[in-house]
Amino acid sequence: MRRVIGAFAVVVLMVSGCGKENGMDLQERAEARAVEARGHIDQLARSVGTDLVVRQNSLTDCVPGQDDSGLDLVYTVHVTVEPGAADRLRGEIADRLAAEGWTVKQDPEHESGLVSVRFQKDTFTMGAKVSEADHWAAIGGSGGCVR
Amino acid sequence: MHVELEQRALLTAAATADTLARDISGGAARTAAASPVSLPSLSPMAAKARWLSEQVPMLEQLAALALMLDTDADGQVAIDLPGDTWDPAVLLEQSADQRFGPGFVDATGLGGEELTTLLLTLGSVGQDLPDSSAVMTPDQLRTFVIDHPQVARALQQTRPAGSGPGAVLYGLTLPFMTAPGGGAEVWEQRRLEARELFEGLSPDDAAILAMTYPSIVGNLPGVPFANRADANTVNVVVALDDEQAELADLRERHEHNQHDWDFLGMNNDDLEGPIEDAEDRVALYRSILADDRQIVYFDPSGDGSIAELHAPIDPRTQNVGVLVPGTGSDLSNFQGTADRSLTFQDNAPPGSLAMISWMGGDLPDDIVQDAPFANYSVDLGPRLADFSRDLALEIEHSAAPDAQVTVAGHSYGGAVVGRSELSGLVADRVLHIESAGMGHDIEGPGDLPDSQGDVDRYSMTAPGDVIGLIQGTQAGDNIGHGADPDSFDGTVRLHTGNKVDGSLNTGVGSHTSVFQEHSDAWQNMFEVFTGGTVETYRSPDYYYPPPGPYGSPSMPVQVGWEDDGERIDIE
Repeated sequence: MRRVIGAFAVVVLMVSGCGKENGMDLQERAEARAVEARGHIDQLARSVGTDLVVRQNSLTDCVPGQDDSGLDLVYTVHVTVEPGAADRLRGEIADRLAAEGWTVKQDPEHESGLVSVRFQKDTFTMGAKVSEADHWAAIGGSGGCVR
Repeated sequence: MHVELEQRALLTAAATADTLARDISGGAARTAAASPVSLPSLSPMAAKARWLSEQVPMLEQLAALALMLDTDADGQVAIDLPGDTWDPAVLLEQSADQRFGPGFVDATGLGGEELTTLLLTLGSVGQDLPDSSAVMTPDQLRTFVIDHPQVARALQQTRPAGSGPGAVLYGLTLPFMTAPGGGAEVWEQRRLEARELFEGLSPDDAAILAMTYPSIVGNLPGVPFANRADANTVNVVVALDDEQAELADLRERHEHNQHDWDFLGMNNDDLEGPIEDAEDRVALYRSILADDRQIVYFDPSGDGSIAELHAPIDPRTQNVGVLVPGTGSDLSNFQGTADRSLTFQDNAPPGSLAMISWMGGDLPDDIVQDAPFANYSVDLGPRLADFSRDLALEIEHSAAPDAQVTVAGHSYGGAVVGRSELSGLVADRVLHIESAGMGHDIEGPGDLPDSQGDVDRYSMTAPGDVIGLIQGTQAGDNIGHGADPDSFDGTVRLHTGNKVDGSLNTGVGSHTSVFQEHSDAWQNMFEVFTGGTVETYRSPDYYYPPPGPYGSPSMPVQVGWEDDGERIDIE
């Protein structure tokens, strides 16, 4: 009887242990994806401007308010841009990324002059929004929801 | 015994005595060091400086006493005391308790110079006091309160007395019998009076007043958002203290569960969820205090209520966005909503978009058991509408009075936004994101009040999102959420596009993936928040597989988009 209880306890402990391991695994997998995503976004940011400042960098719920919806990187940086940055973004930078396999989407220009180009490849998405009037650009993106 | 006190003169005397003591001490030391011969006459100088310095706290204590007793803020007090001797410390405690409520001093746990400094600071509102290091600035008071949770707890119990700004504040909380225009008229009048009270004070006085009465000011309609945030700093300090105690208790019980009579370990994991939630709330509160986040609504009871303004509304602000989350939202996962709001704000030109994350009350916990019911949105709708009136007042009194407001609700949050329209939500644009519905009992534009006639509405629901199954359904008094937002008359339906990997954003997962930064759906939300150009709905193109071997119908599969959306400029 004691042996049965002991075996059952071991099984229970293993099951409860598994749950914890899965939770850690999700965090690790999400962080691994995030590392790659940050690399893409930083590279794009440095090709758009200088003085990179990280504005947001967190692994957050895929659905706001639902902590069992998986984890998604939210990563946004700001850079200072020179005149011509918007044209370079739409031209040579977009062309280079397209050649590397990224899908390129050019959004209509805002009335404010905000130029937006977005890029998608595999589970990664990133976008750059350039306001030359403000000498500013935001570059951000995600590695996609990791469950 | 008759005693007359003037706080201004006492503080000036304290500052002067302090300066003199330093001068004497420093001068004597410099002279002694410079002299090639011994100067015995300098020996008593250090003792005199020390004696003088010791008088400073007494003068400051008397100044604090004068402030506590000076309820009409005319700068002086006269009191008659029994007998020939008196203890200023005892009288100070009594007068502070009279000013801020019984037991206030004991509750702070402070004494001596720390208590004097706190009382001088709290009593300084509306007073013309000389510069004094004994009176804290708002930033210093904030830091002091964060470092002294017991003081924060005592401040939460304060009740205004006297005839100064505190008394005006108290007047705004009193019950009223009736008004010619009904209760709503009184509430609106009070909203304006609260604004007037705080705007009539110097910025420092307004901040200190807010921190002095945090239970009243934190969520009080009309109070400038900056001062609500001041008050809620104090409230968050208490919440953090409580939560840390709760967490310690949970961990202790969890540890006990591992070694208790339950040798099968059946209860070993029972507290893991509550511990994680408590850890998340502690992390949130710490982040709020460390980063000076602007919490403009806060109540930690139950699942909690909170609203955060993520950027100041200043001359650069062109748009203000409010994001309302849906089922499952509570304080432990509020950070997720805040993170999503920030993605929009940080991608807009600097200062042009100020986002607010609003979770002003209890949302459903469970999609199946709770979310079909309307009572949560029926309760929250009027609160969101009330908050929108505060936001409108904040914008009107800001340097950006023309800023446009978008209020967006995700999932169940859409039903909340819908119900808030029924209560007169003040907004230029409303955005339903994978929304549960237009709000219980709202079947058409005719069900909305006239105030909503100029609101531009947008809606996005990805093809195949299961929320589509409940949109447009309603039964009885408490089931369902009114009309389908996508087909509501006058609403512009938006494209949800593709997922990040270029595949179609459809099916169950689409409820999640619409928020992925820079996806097509996210971009459309961004355009609504910033008043840009949106892409309208594109019909899904379905492939219908042949029937199964026994004639059973097959599920259609979306393979693309049947048509192109239009590009529409919002303004």
